[in-house]
Amino acid sequence: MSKQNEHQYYLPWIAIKTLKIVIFSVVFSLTVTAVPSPALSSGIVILYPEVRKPYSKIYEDIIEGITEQNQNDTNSMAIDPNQPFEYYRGSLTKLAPDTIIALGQKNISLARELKPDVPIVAGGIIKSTENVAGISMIPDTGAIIDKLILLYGEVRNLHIVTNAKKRKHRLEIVGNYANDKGINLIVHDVETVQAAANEYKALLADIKQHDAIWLMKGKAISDSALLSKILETAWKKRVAVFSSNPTHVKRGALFAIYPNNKKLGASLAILATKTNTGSTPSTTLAPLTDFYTVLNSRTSRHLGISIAGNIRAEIDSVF
Amino acid sequence: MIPLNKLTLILASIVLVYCATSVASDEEELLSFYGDEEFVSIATGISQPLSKAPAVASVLTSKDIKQIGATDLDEILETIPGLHVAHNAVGYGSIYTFRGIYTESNPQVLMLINGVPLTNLFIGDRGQAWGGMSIESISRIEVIRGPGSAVYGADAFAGVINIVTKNSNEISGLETGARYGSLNTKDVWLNYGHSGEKLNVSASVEFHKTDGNDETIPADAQTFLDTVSGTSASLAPGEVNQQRENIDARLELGYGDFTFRSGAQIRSDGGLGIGLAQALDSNGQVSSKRYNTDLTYNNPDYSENLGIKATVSYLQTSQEVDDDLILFPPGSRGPFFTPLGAPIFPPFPNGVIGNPEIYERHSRANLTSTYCGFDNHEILLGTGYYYGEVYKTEEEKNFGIDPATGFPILPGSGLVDVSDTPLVFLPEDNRENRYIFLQDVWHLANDWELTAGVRYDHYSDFGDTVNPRLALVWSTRHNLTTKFLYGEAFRAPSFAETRVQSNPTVLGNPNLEPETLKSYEIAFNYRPTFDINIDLNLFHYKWEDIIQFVSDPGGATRTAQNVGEQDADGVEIEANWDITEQVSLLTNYSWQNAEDQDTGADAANAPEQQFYIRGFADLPNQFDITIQLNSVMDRNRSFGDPRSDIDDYTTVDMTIRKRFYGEQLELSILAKNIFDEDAREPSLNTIPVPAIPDDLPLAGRRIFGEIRYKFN
Repeated sequence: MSKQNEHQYYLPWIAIKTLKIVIFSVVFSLTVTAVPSPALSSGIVILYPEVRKPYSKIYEDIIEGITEQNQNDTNSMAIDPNQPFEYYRGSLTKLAPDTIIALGQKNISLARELKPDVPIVAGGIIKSTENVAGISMIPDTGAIIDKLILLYGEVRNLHIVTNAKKRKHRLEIVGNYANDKGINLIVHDVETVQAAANEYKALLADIKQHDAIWLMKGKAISDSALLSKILETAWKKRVAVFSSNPTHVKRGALFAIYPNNKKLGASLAILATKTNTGSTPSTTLAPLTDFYTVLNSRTSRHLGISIAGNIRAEIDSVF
Repeated sequence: MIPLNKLTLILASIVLVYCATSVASDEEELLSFYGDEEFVSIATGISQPLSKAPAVASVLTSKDIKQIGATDLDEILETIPGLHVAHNAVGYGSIYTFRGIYTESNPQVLMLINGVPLTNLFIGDRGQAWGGMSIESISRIEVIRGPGSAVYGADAFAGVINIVTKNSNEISGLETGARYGSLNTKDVWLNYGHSGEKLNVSASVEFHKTDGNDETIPADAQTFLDTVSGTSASLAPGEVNQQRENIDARLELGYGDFTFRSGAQIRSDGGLGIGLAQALDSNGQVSSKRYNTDLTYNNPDYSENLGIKATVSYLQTSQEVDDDLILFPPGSRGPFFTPLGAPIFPPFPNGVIGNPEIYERHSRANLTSTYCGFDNHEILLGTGYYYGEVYKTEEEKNFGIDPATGFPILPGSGLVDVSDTPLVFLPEDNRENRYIFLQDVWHLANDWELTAGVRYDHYSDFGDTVNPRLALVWSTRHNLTTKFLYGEAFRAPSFAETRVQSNPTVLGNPNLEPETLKSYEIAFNYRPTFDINIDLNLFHYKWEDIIQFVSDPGGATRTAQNVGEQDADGVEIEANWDITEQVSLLTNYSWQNAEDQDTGADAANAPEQQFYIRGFADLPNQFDITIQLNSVMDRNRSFGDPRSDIDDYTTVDMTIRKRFYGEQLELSILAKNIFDEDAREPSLNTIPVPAIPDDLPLAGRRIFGEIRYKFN
């Protein structure tokens, strides 16, 4: 039958198409995954840890931001934790970096050991035991308070339950900034997880509408029963809860912030250039100012927050 | 002294443990900025946040698909509450039965791939040679139960199934896999994804070949004909013919706000299940070639308050005959009798053969804008145009009237080509549709949101239809949401129902109106803890103007008429429980009671109860295991069917996977229907006796081995 012929005609066509896609794919993937060329050029070398997907995408975005910002050569090396530092000496020497951007805690030590004379900029970490210039993943307090005011302008009292001694410096900054904006910071000082839980319970009993709770990282709020109680009371009493953990937003907090990795990359590249030229011989980590905001639309409506115009522009994603 | 090899082993273990800790600490630190791994994927653009629909919707992600251990689209859809995938006799075609809405050709369901409808004009389904769909390129499946015509238009009636394919963010580099198992089933696939600075590319090719279900049919339509015409032609008892060969290929290019997609779904050598006329046909084979391409511009931030999305798409489909379709086997005298019941013809030596082929084209353009400039309102305004045509129909047959002579084609004659004559099974024709829709999401008060939408459609053949919907969403408590929903829908009459004039017994009716549905629902979403999610839906609907073929005065022919009516009430409850980070449980139960208003009897064939449960455990040593159980219960016979009700069935499946080298290599064993349950889907009741009295048996126990590898 003629239909048989048509059918036979199509199969080779499909086979050729398939083959073309395969060849295209292989060629493409080879070009994409090519090892950094060992050219004898100087510039920025980024050391980043080899991690699983989806975590690897975080580093890929930071690297993309650095590469886009940096005018000179940028090379990156995935550091396999199975290998000793020495394993990378050869490749690092060949790349002859002007500056190293070390992502992840371990790569700072690696860079220090293998290239003690090259300036280092650290990123992708919370804090460092070494004196190093860089950008921390801990967000800038002023920027967070600005976000709170933008979303919930009626806020009067801001509560933080934390170990005040450990966060003395940061709390001072928060207090001063909040004061300037007409917000009263109330720090509930606790030393143990149990004390934190008790303090949260006492706070929830007394808290009033137009107050806000900043859930700072700590073991107490990892307890889902306590977090659930906080969010339930916050709903009932119309209190704004926020943090730097987007999961809290999924569970009912008003908003949270999380890193904008591409922008962070660009900021690291700028810092690397400055460090290399010696204009800012900083040895501390700057707070993170490049972040996204995620909002819980259900909670925001419950609090009577209208997401329109300028506020909408400040929100990057919505649960 | 410790032997050297043991020492090496201990050292290696220490190094490994150290390394694992180091990697874990990097990941843990990253995790602390995002909260959980799911949000890492969302924040980095690997997966999309699940959109909140003011309808009763289910979203199944690629993670669910892997847990289910699915090898075909239908296995995924069967896990959704209120949805059961039944099959018809012709090629075991899928019938997506939502909430008791069961028809043989199933045009009451709208299936889309990346938002583009797959609906065929001929009988309003996905094509009679649909042939299933491989799943390795699927990112997620969004399923709306209930009507969606206010946004989607025609056929978003009993339910909407939107299949979203993977983009470059979801495939890193080159990924490949293969599966082999029972019924000589082979699958091979290759996915490629690359996110460039400007251009994002993803491509996939999937190949599937199987001998298919080979269960035995004890008696078929010819068995009865043999008894009344004194022949012994039936191939029953004989095996179901469900072999097929499928190729799916897709390409997606993303450039800024533009996305270009193109794809092909080639189905060939497809067995006819039981047969085109419910008589076993071991010879006939069909194929289908479906090519699609679309271009989308999507800019949600076109200006401060305005978002714009524009799509143009093209879909070409065919239903072709690879090998003669034998309606009744060699030696049969066919279903041709005198009024006194005597056979008209002597036996047909090659059987009664009919080879209908159909070719369609579908072009669409759609423009949607969202506007958020008014306080407390989000406005959606859209308009679009559709042009579809059956541009070629061809038919060869060895029975009926020869258009060249005007006399009957006698047994023993060759095949006569009736294409391009008035006697072809369906004339070539086209349909145009223009539409406009408007929707407003209005935040009435702090915890109240009203979505009101309406869509106007004009069709070139059957005129106008207007379909509204209302959804009132109330944030009742911090962990409870209540939705009140009302929706209307329409189902466009198919060309088979409006245009067929050559069939000696069944006639189309150009004056048909669309079928309509009005649906009322209350839905609750309750999250008693962060790890438990419970949904409860209560619904009532009225399905009217159901198109049925009604006997004409004189009784020789039947003509399509808007006559049927079905009312139904039902409940669906589903629960997810993440017991620990490694162990999760998902379950759902559905109950519906639908009544055929013409007969007063319970509606036939769709299950009145369904139960599904799936347990998943991520075990140590990179193992994971899924066990799932699916029960299909309480399926009534149609009014007047002499058979007892269809037996319930429960199938149990198990999937075990093990990952190696991180997640680069994965080996799996998939076991389906492990207790070899005798599961059957209902066959049609026909006059004077059901043609296939013992229903349509589904495949028994099957085992597959699978390997996946990522080149990165």
